Amino acid sequence: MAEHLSLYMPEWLAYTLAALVHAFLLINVIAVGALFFIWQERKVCGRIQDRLGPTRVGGKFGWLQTLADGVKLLSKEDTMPKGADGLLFRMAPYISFCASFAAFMVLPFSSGYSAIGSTIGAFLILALLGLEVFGVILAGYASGSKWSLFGGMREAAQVVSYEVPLGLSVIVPVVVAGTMDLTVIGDMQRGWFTNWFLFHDPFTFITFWVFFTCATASVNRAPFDLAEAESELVAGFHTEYSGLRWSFFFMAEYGSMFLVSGIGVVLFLGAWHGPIPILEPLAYQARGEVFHWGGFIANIAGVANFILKAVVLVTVMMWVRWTLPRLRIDQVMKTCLKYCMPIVCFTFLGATIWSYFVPGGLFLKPAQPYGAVRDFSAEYLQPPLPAGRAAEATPAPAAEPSHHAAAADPVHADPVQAGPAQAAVPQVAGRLTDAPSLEARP
Amino acid sequence: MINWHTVLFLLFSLVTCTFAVAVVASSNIVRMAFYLIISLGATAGLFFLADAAFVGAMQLMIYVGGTLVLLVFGVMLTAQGPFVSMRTSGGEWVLGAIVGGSLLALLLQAAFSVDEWRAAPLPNPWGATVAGNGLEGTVIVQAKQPHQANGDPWDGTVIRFQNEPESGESLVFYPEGGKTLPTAAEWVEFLNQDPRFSEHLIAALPAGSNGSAPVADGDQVRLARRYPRTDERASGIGLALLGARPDAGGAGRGGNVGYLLPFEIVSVHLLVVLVGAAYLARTKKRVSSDGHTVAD
Repeated sequence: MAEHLSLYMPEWLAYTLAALVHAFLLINVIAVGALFFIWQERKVCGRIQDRLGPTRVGGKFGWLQTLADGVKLLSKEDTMPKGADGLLFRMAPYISFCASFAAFMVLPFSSGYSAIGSTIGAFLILALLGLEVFGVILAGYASGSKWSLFGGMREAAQVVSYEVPLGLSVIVPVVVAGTMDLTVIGDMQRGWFTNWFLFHDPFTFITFWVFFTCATASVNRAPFDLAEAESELVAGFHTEYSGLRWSFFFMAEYGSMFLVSGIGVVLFLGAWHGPIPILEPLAYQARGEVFHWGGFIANIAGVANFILKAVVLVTVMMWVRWTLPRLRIDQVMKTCLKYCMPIVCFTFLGATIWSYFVPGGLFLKPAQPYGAVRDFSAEYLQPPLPAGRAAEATPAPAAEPSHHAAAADPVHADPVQAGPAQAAVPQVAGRLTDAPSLEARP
Repeated sequence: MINWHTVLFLLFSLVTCTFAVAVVASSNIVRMAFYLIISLGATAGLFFLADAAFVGAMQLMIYVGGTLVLLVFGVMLTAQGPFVSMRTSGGEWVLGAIVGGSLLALLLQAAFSVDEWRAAPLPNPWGATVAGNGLEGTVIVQAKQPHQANGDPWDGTVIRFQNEPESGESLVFYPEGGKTLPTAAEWVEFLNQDPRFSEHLIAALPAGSNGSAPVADGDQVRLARRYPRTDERASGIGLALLGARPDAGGAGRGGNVGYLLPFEIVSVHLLVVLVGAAYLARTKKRVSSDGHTVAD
C-alpha cells in the first residue's frame, strides 16, 4: 500500500499514512469485535442457561448492552491496592492489549488483506500471540494479592505447556502447504470446500480439533480459564483491577479469541474462500492486477467469509465455555501433555508421510496459489552468474507459448525471470506451483 | 528528507540500551524481567529492521515468550516474600563492570571494523512504476547520444529512467570500445552487474526482443524487484545472522560462515544467565534470633 501511495505523495507521508490506515482498521476490528462478542457472549450464555440475556438497552435484542457496560467501566474509579507494584500493575493491561493487537497485523483477512504480508506469517503470529501471557503474569504478580498471584502462576504454567502442542498443530498445515505465508496458505485452499486443509487428509482433520483445544487454552477461555477461576480465586489475575484497565484485559481476551479463530480459519477452514467457489472467476481475472473491480468484490466477499467463519469458531468457544465445567489444574496439564501432545506428534508425522507419498488432498487436489511463489532466498544466496552465461540462459520469451500474454501486454505480464535470478527462479517456481507438497522433490 | 530507517534504528537501539541499563540498575527481580522483556522486544525490532524477520520472530518466540515467562514463573514459585529484591555488593558491581566493559569493548571493535553500515535499500529506487502484484514494472529508457552538444566532458551514453529527474543520479553506460550506442542486451547485462541497480532490481529484455539492436529513446526494459516485499528482503547483516554471507562472495567458501555460531554462543550464554537468575531468586533461609525461619 505504501508503495502505491508513494507514487502520489512524498515517501514519508505515504508510509506514515499507510501505517495509520492499517492501525486504525485493526484497532476497529478489536474494539468493534469486543463490543459484539461481549454482547454475543451474554446472549449465548443466557440462551444456554434458559434465560433471555440482555433485552432492554438499545432496542429489542439489547444490542447496546456492551456500550452501557463500557460507559459504566469508564465512570468507575481506577483503584490500585496499597501493596501493589505500581509500575507493573499499571502496565500489565496495556501489555496484554498490545500483544493481542500486534498479532492482528499479520493476520490476513482476505487475499493480500493483511497489514504485514510476511513470508513467515504463521510463525510470527504465534510469536506475537505468546507475548499476551505477560500481561496476565505481571498483573498476577504485581497486584500484591494472593488470588492474583495464584492466577498468574496458573496462567504461566498453562500457557508455557500449551504453546508446544499449539505450535506443533500449526506446523501440520504448514507442512501440507509448503509455506508459512498465511496469504499463500489461504489461497491454496480456494475452490470447493473439499480443498480446505481440514479435509486434506485424516491427519489435518484430527489436527484441527487439537489446534482448537490448544487455542482455547492459550487464550485462557473456559474450560481452561484457571487463571481467573471465579469459584476459587475470586477473579484470578484481575481481582484487583477495576474500570478501564480491567476492560483492557477483556478487549485483549476477546481480540485473542477472534485472532486464534482467524488463524484456525486460515490454516484449516479455507481462509477467505467460501465453501462453493462463486466468486472464483472474478478473483481469477484479477490476479496480477494492481486494482481490478472483480478482484475487489471477491476480496470484500472474502473478508465477509473470513469474519463469518471466525465468528462461528468464537461462538463455538462460547458454547463450550457455558457447557463444560472448569478443569482442575492437573486435568489441564494432563489434557496437554497426555493427550494433545501425543496426538499432534502423531498427526504431524502422519501428515508429513501423507504429503510425501499421497500428494494432494483426500478428495481433490488443492488449488495452486495465484502467483508463482518465488523463493527469493535461493537466488540471493547464489552468486550472480557471469554475464555471458546469464545472457545465454535467458529463455527467448516469444518461443514459449505461456508467454504470449507477456508479449501482448508487457506491463502486466508474468514476473520477470531473467538476470541473475533466472537460473534459480524457474526451478523453484516450478516446484512450488506444481504441487504444494513434498511430492516434486527428488 | 527523513531517513526512517535511521530514525527507527535509533529509536529501537535507544529503547534496547535504556532498558538494558534499567535491568542492571533495578533491584526488584520481576521488574528486571519486565525491563528485559522491553529490551529484548526492541532487539527483535532491530532484527525486523535488518530485514531478518525470521530471527526477529525467533527472538520474540524463544527469549521473550519462552525464557522470560519461565523466569517470572520461577521467581513466583521460589520467592518467599511478595517482591523479591536483590542487593548487589560493591565487589559484584566491579566484577560485572569489568566483564561487561570488556564485552562492550570487543563488540565496539567488531562493530566499527565492519566497512559499511548500509541503510536499507530504497523502497522504490530508480522511480520504477510498480505494476502487477507489486513485484514488477516497466520503465522507459532515454538513451542519449554522446554529449558534445551538452558540453559534457565524456563520451558515452547516458541512460535515464523516465521517472527520474534530470538532476538525479543516473546510470551511465560507458562502452569500452568508444562512442557507439550499446545494444539492449548489453545494456541489460550492464544493469544487472551494476551493484547500485542489481541490489534492488532485476532487469530483463522486453518480451519478443532479442536485444541486438542499439538502444533508442523510448526503449523498454522489464524490471522485477529483487525482493518482492519489504519484509522478505534480507539485508546482508540479516542473512549473516542466519549463517550466509552474500557480501563475502557467496556460500560455501571457507571462513564465510556468517554469524550463526556467535549468535548461538550468545544464546547459550543467555541460558546460563537465566539459570543464574533463578538461583539468585531462590531466597536463602536463615534462622533469626527468636527461632523463626525468615527469608533473607
